Amino acid sequence: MSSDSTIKGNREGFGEAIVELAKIDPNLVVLCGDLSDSMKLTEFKKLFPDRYVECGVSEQNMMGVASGLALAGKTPWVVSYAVFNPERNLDQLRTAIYSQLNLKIVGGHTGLATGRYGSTHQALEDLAIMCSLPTITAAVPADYKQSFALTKQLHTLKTPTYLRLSRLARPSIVDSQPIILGQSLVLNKGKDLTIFACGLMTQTAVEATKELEEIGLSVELINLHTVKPLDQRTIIESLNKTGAGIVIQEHQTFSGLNSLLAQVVANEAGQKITKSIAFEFMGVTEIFGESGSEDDLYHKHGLDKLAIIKKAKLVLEKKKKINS
Amino acid sequence: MPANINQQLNKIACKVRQDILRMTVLSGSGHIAGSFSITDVLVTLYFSKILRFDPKRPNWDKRDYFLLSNGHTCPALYAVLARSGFFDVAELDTYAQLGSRLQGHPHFAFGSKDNLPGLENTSGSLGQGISQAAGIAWAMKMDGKNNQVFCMMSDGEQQEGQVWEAYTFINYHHLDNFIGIIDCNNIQISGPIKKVMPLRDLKLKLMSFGFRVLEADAHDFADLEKKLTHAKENKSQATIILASSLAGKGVSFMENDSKWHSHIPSENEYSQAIKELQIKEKSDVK
Repeated sequence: MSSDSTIKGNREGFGEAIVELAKIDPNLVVLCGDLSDSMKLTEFKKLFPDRYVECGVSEQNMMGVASGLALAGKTPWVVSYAVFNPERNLDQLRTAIYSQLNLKIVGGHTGLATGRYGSTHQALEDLAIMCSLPTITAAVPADYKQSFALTKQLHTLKTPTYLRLSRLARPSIVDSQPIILGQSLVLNKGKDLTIFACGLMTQTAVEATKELEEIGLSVELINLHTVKPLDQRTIIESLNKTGAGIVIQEHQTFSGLNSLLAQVVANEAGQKITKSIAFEFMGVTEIFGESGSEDDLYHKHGLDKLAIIKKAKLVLEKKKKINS
Repeated sequence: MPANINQQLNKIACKVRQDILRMTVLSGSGHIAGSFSITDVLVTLYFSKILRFDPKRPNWDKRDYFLLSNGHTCPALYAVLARSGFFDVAELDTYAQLGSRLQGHPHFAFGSKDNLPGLENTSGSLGQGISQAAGIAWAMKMDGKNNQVFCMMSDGEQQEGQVWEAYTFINYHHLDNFIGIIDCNNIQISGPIKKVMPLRDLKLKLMSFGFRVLEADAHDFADLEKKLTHAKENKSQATIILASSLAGKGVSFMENDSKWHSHIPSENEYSQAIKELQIKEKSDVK
């Protein structure tokens, strides 16, 4: 599971898509706060120096400048690590969204796998923050392919968007379905339980699903690359079938995808959801991150294959109680 | 500036201050002191041909931009926009009422047809208008346009760190189409700035950031016109005008008293204030 520098990850998918978009949209501008290489903007800077706005280590001003560019009719992509953008400059972003400005926010280095930089660089709250803002669309690509496709699709929206990226590059998911904003991907069909995953946790869930199937369970695996708005129909259909769900995200457990999905289930209980559902929610629970290798961090915080397998057993026990 | 123009601007400014009082009293909210201290600057910008605009075409692509960063002083901007012909003066009475286009702090919604004509930005959280102005200035340069971008800030607002990020950005990117005005009335909500959080030598600080810094009397129309024209006509450097003002300017018992930052006048205070302004409107006094 350790990082391999030859693999293209979701940062590369963004960096390549933004170059393609800039070739066709002269109004596209990119703002970054001294992290252009890390955020894979090197090529964009080289090809479009007049449309790259260097903001230095000044994220609050960066968001304000982006707002001004949007007021003047540009479509700004505002790029930095998520702990700085949108977390440090949330007030400026809030004003921009209140003003219906078409800002494209990109937060890098989310989750635990951010090298050994420690908690100051591990955004674990950004989805909760972003999804609480009215009108925003939030995407969490799992890999290079999703990131490339979703970047392009987010650009076509006239409303504010958030793209959540990771430092760690994992091999792309093997899947031939089209990647469409707002539509989930059913990566495996099953009937005993459903695993919902976004971002890098998708690959972990793929591995866990294989192992669970090997011991005789039938697991439905759904990738939710678009966290807001959620693909409610697929979620509900699957849960009506399996009656048990596990949600996994590289984020604080009690918010983000977990709580958004829980709301869908609670709202539809007795309506479109026809039975009681057993649930387990996975994430980083009531604690900040820390330095360490990716494998060690995922293991300690219960975000590896083994942890999913344990949760699968737990959720199936719950399901049994509900149905007994 | 000929005396009759001076007198004409004085008349408008007196009307604007009466509008501000009326909005404040009708809604039971608003910030009189700061609104009064920026009134003469706004009147000069809009009524002595400093700003390029057309009230019939608020989105005219050749207009100069005016951004209010210290959003709590919006009653002054609303009144000046109405008196410039952007919308009916009667609409001022809806200020801060449910459903009004005149929000308690300015709200601009991009692309919406429900916006208040003439308004360019949302403000209220201090320190942001300057960055928004920098973004517009950058876009104008990028498109090879000569529109200029004016931004009004307050002196208390200079306590926000974002302002200093923006100053660095503006000068590094050489945005000489930017003209900032700082309303220096020396007070903020809790009292005198020098007691709450002093700014030290603002002029020296701004010069060291790379600005051309001009000083003006915020209540002397001739001086304001001279400094604003100088800033507008002499590009090559971004400019900031330090406009030395009196909080609550125009009504004797409101002047230079931080109590009036957001205090609402009683019925008697209101009549007294209106009376003073009506006398000034007819006189030749600034």
